[in-house]
Amino acid sequence: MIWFLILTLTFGQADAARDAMRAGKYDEAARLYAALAKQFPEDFMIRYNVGLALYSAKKYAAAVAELKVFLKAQPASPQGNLIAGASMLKLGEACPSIAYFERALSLRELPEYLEQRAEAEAACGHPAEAARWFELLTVKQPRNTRGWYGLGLARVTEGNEGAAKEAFARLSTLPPSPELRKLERDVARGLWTSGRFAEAREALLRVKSLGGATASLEYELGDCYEKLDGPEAALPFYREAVRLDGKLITARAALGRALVGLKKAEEAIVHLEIAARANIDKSLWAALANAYRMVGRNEDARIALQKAR
Amino acid sequence: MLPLFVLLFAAEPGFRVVELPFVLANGEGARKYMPGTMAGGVAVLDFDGDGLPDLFFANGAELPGLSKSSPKFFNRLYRNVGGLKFEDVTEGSGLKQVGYGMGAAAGDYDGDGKVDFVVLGVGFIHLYRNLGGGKFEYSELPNQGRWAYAAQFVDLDGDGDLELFVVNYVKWPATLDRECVVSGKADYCHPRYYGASANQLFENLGGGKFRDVSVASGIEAHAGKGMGLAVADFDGNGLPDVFVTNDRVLNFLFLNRGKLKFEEKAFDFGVAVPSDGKSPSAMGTAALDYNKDGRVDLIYTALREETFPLYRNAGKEMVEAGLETGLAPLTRAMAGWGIAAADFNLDGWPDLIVARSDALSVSGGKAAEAQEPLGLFWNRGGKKFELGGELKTPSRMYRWLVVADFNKDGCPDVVVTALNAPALLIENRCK
Repeated sequence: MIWFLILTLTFGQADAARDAMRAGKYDEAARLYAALAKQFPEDFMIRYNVGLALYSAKKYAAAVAELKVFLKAQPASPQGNLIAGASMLKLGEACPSIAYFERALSLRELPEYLEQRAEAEAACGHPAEAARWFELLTVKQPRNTRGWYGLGLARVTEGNEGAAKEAFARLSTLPPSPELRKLERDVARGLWTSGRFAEAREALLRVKSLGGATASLEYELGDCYEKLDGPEAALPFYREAVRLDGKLITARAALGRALVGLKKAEEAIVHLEIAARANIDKSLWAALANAYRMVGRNEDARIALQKAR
Repeated sequence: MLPLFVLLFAAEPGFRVVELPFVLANGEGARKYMPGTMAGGVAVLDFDGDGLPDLFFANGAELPGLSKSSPKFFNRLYRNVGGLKFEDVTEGSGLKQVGYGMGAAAGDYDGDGKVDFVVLGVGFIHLYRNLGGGKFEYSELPNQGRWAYAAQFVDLDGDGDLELFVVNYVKWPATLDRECVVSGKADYCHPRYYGASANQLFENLGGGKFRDVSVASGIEAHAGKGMGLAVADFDGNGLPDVFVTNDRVLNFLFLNRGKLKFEEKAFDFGVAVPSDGKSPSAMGTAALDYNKDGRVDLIYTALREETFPLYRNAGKEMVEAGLETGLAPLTRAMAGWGIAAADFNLDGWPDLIVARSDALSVSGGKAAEAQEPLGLFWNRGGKKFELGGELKTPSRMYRWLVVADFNKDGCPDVVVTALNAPALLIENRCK
């Protein structure tokens, strides 16, 4: 009778965990699966489920820990290797994640496996390898937007402009989709935040040409132009960013700073006064002090400098 | 006598790169104590009066103990014996092998015709008075335990003898050293974690004696995180002024008002902070008249994305000239420490040479970007700077450099130090 009760409770718990996964309640699913794993430490599929639930809940470090335990017992699980690699990739551990994708692909060559491998190679700084895997992906799925886009970017990084243009041209023949736009925007921003300004500028301009201009995109473009060609080249983009969204303080600050550098102090003051008062960065007061000094407002300059210190 | 080590790196006609026997030991271990990234001072001085420039290298020490526990940490004095050969004459010279050395500077402060020098370090200022015959008399100047980093002997009051201006870095007792992590690995900390320190001025009283006039002169009133100084008459009043670079805080320009009184006017003069308001990691600095308009201009080095800001002296203020000369875009992706201006190709225009590299550790999370080659910038008629590719130096953690004509061929040569690597001599065969 007691065994029957335990069994019933366990099945109930497993059902609840599965339901939680289906409902997108990943934290709850992870908790329920973890409780089950404690009861049945020898059942490694439960460890896999814990790992999958944690990955879905974006708890990547914990997911990696669980899946490593699972893979010790089941090293030939393609899905286990895939999720472990994907978790590491999310954690920024692109280079070590490659080994997991390699194992997964040796067991099963599915498009999503190819895509993850290609992403990992690109993030690890292996553009030629990334291109190879993206290319395989586009062979298997000729309408895969991520495949063509990733291939184009990998070719850019390799310095193979011709092949990059070819990949982007193929991309432009695909029907536009919100997914494609979002993808391109995310990649462009990623390039910008990682300081790859030449590639970021190309990617951002492409997003813009597809009709995706926003204040933040204009600001990021301006920043790329400033880093690559100096502040004069950045001004139109910063101005457009501020026109589109006057509350985007980072854009206003960048515009103000660039204007001071170009000795356009009067215009700079307008933007820097707003940006400095937002208190996001004390150095904006120093930029404002410089602008005041340039136009002879020495007392204002002194006060602004005091705030910068 | 130690022979010059073999030529290691091929250079195009014009420059020859030679390793010197001195190896800078910074004492870096798994934990990155702040002094480890700052070492590498070198001074050029003709201490034996034979007309050939000799060399003194300040060396690091064990960290965090700051003791020279091994000969690898010893300071070294080298005599130039001609033909670009140097003899280690440290032993018996009177050099003290104590403390963690930083910068060094030479000058005949007792006016006896023999060049003396000073060594700065973490918690000390050591004076070495040249007695002749390769012997030096050691003494100390008070510095209240500050981290003395760079210095210059200069006659600031016009009485014919040399004052000593000492630039101090941050407040760093080893007990307050922080552990920092960059990109997942232990690395050197941002200077914001350490307090600012005031610089010092010592008045020369004659007979090799100095008096600390930091308070009376107005210098003590300004605390910064000093890394370099350039001395020149920036405001054109006939008296030498002192520009001090500060690490991530506003720079100082001490304008000389006579009688050893100074006013800090960096902001009014336009050199406290670049126009964008972001205080860079201002490092080495040099005064030069790059456009030969008769006014002394200014440049300093900084880290990546900060450029090496160049200022054109417009009389009443300095104007940023990085964009108009092309130097800003050229240097945006570079990090620099020591800098010097000299006419390397004898075309009449001062060129620039920079000891490049990052402040982060070569074993840290950004190791791949830490080392850089030396940077040579040709001055094209006072209007543009161009990056010269002629040096072909290996990428290393370069720190300080000096320029002198070591072989007396009329062409300025360079000696540069690098962390945990031999110092290099760049022979310039400009003729």
